[in-house]
Amino acid sequence: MISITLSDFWNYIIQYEVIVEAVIAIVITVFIAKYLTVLIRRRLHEKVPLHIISNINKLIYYIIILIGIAIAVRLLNIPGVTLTELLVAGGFTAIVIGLAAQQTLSNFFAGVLLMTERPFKIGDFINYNDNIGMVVDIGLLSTKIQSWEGYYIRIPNSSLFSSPLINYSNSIVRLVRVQFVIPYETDVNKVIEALIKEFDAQWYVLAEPAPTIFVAQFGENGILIEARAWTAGKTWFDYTQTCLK
Amino acid sequence: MKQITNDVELSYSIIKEKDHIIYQKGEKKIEIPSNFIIKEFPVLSSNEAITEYFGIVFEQPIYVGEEQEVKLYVKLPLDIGIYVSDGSNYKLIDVIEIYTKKYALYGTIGEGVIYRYWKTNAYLERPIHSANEALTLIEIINKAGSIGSVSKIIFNSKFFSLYFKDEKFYGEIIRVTRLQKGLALVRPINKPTIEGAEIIPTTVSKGIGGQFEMRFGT
Repeated sequence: MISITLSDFWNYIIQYEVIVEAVIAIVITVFIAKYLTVLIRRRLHEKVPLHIISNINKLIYYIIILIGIAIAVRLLNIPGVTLTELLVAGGFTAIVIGLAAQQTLSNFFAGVLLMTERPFKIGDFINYNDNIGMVVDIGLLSTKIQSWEGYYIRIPNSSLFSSPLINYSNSIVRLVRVQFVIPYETDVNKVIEALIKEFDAQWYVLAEPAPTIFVAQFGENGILIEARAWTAGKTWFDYTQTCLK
Repeated sequence: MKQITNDVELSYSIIKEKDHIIYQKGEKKIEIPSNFIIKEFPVLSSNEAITEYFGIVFEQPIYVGEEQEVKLYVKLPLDIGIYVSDGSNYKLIDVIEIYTKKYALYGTIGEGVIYRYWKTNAYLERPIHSANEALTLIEIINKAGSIGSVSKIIFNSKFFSLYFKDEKFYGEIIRVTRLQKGLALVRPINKPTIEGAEIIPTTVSKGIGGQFEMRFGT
């Protein structure tokens, strides 16, 4: 139990040297934390993605700052507050916060797992529950994507980790299928010939595997033609835009 | 060095102003301080934003006997690279495309690589080539215990240097070592196709390396 008498308080006030020491301890830990984060960024920037470095740095920074605060409290030697008591109180607070922030912790651990497994990286196009967009940030608690329309969508990491997700940018190649109907009077061979010629002229249609065009169905309104062509994952967007035209 | 722009109609301009140089191609306009120069150099016709691999696809497969070596020439397409230079360093700012590019997949959908697709004839004797082509010697060494057929060669273009001699361009010799059926190693060996050719300054830093393992067949 914390009990402070007036004399204790006075003694404490006049111990300004201790206060200076505590402040110096915090300043030093802040300096160490900042130095370490810079060092980590410099050492890892070629090997580890930037967002992972940023999250590691955040963690390390706050852990060092907490250590600094603990040292400062120890130096201050506040009557009735020992380091052990502080740790016990900290542990108890952690349990309370843990229970209250279950969802947050679940997002945090999902964030760590996402960084380890790396199902996507910044710049990838993903589809989560019909939320399609480019990944712009992978945080410890949530991931932000920018939609085609330009607005930002924040998705909690635990949702991303536990649900199916499509990553459009991971594929080396992608198959694009287009179907269209031609009237029965049209010469099918000529249509196929023209399409092959067109595919051949387009840089984004891969030469190998070669495109295929075939009659898919004879319908009521005409002949259903299906064209299948492969494109590089990186050029898929250009290709689909052209197909739409 | 020969002006490679002679037989190609190009739509760009380099204007020298008092204190800067303006490079303009269509809507693209780049201003450079006058202490820099703008120079044209050939670049292998590819697009590094899409792939760093270049694939030579032969019109007819090349057959190589067991423990034998075959040397042949191919003509590789060259685009025009526009570089900014301070005299010793070069930075590519634009590419004037002369050839229509095609790409293809080498390997499987899950593990393959995209390469710049270039279908060409192979020549046993040194052929005449144009200013927009780099004549390149390919050495195929068959170390596998069987007759091998080679229909394509994929190499890493980042490690491929270009050379010039007598107003013509040449590529680095590419060595293909067939180790076993379906497996070959391909690497540029840092030597020009013809003796005495000088390296193009923009490719000097490429050095030795860039071995590509063709494990899905040749």
